Amino acid sequence: MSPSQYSLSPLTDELSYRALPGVREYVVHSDAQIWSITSIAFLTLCAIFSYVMRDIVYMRWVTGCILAAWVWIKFNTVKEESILAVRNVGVQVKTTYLSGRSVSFFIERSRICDIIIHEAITMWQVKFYMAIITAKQDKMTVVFEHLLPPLNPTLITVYHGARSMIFSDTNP
Amino acid sequence: VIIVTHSYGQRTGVRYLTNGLKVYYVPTMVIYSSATFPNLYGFFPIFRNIVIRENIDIVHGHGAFSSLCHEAILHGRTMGLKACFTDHSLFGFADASSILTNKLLKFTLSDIDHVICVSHTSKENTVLRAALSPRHVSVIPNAVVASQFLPDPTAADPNFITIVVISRLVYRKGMDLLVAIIPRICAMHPKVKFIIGGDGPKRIDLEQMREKHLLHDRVELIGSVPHHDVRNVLIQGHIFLNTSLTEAFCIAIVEAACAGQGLVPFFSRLSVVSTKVGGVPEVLPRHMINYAKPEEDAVSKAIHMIRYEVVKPATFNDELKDKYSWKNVAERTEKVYDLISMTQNSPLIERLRRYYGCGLYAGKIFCMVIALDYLFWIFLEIIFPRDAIERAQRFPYKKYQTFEYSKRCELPATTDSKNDDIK
Repeated sequence: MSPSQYSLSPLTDELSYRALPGVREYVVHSDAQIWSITSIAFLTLCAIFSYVMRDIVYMRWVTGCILAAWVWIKFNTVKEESILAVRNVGVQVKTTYLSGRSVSFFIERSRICDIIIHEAITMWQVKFYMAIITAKQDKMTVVFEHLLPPLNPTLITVYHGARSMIFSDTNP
Repeated sequence: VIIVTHSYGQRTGVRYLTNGLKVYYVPTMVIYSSATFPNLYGFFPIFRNIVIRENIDIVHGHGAFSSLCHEAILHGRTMGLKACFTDHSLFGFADASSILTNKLLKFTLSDIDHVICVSHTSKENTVLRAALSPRHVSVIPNAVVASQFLPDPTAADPNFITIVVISRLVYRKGMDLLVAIIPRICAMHPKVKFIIGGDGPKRIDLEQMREKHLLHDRVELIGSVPHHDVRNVLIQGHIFLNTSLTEAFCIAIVEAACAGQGLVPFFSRLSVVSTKVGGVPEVLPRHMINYAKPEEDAVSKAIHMIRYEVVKPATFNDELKDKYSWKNVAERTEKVYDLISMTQNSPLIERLRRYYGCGLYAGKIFCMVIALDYLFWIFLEIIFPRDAIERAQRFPYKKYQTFEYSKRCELPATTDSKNDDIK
């Protein structure tokens, strides 16, 4: 819980941050909504389709499956992702979905080896990502794993901010 | 300068080599012996992405058998970049694989700005295979870092005459010839020993030959030799033997000649015996090398010369150091790049016309391939717009060099270049 004067201030249209002494939090939003134009159009089409085919019995199953798939997609769409860095305590990486569910992962300061920015080859793109290398673990923890914001200014700001909390004694 | 290649085992993604050279290991499917599965359009999206983000102007492909090379040149030309090709091998004209590869090469080289070959023999071969105009082909030989192959006359065993063979143990490198020679030489000269470095499918034949003629103490198979150890193996020998059936430019013999000179004049030198095929005669001066027909008898001449210590003049290493240097290669390649940067891009119809001339049926097929490639490019430009692709940061070479230098002066550390920060 943060006091009201330390509220989330926007840096770019994607990134906002919150700063307290010894704490930085960076939040990247995506502009996904539950009821977006495409969803409404898709649902109306689905409704028309099921009304037209109301006599055929198995079509209800098909419509049901399509609706279930839509619900599942909406549930797993990421609304925002954040990284919270607390000096001498650690780093928490959190993913919030449209349904309100959030998954967070905490890494304590002693287990953080390094925070890096590197590039990776995905299916048909090369993207920049920021990651935290933890001790005694094979895989790095990727920050903003689903949203993958651009390098500048987002990733660079987050990188410098998080590193200043974790790897230095004084505020920049 | 960046390198794009296929992934090697676990090594995929973006890595930096020791000097800061960026390598993209693209995860393509590898079918056999490091050759990728030729998917013509599948490589286009990732290639386009890499080229746009790095602001690439020239695509330089290597190796006629590399499918990634042909695809990259094709897609690069479609996107309007300049293209250049280096051929490292010689090929025949008669057997099935050569005919197919030559047709494919003709396809790629119909629309290319420049071709580089590694020897004059290779130039003749390439010009004939791909029906090119010789004005568009340059010869830039490979080079050797002579300082890595300094000779050491004390390393060789004085009781025996040691013959060193280092190569991939495949058919092309004349391993059958070697299997036939070794028992005869060992029978004729009792004081001769062989050291064979390298690995490959023909290793089994060599082991069988060793067992059959009971040559366990005379023939030593040391297996695969990493590059930094090659010199240590070379200096153990008096003679270097190269039995290739075909060779465009043999770096191995240049390395061997570099490693062969000692400072004390009465010790035996590493002399080179090679089959006189392909580009081999162009590589070393006449006094450094003995030729043998691709038959069995002529190694004896070299052994004879060594045993009776026909002393060769000194400073092979110095001669080769001046003749072959990577700096020279880089300068000449840069001239090629400057030359091709100044050419104009031809319109699509002109490209189609060039491909159409490749053959009666092949020309039409090639034109269809190119047309589809162009359409695919337009499709990619719409789906993944150019502005959405973020440009990569340039690697800070000067900073890295000074950092490396200062680190090297302080302590013997190893740099973990995978995790270089991008500032």
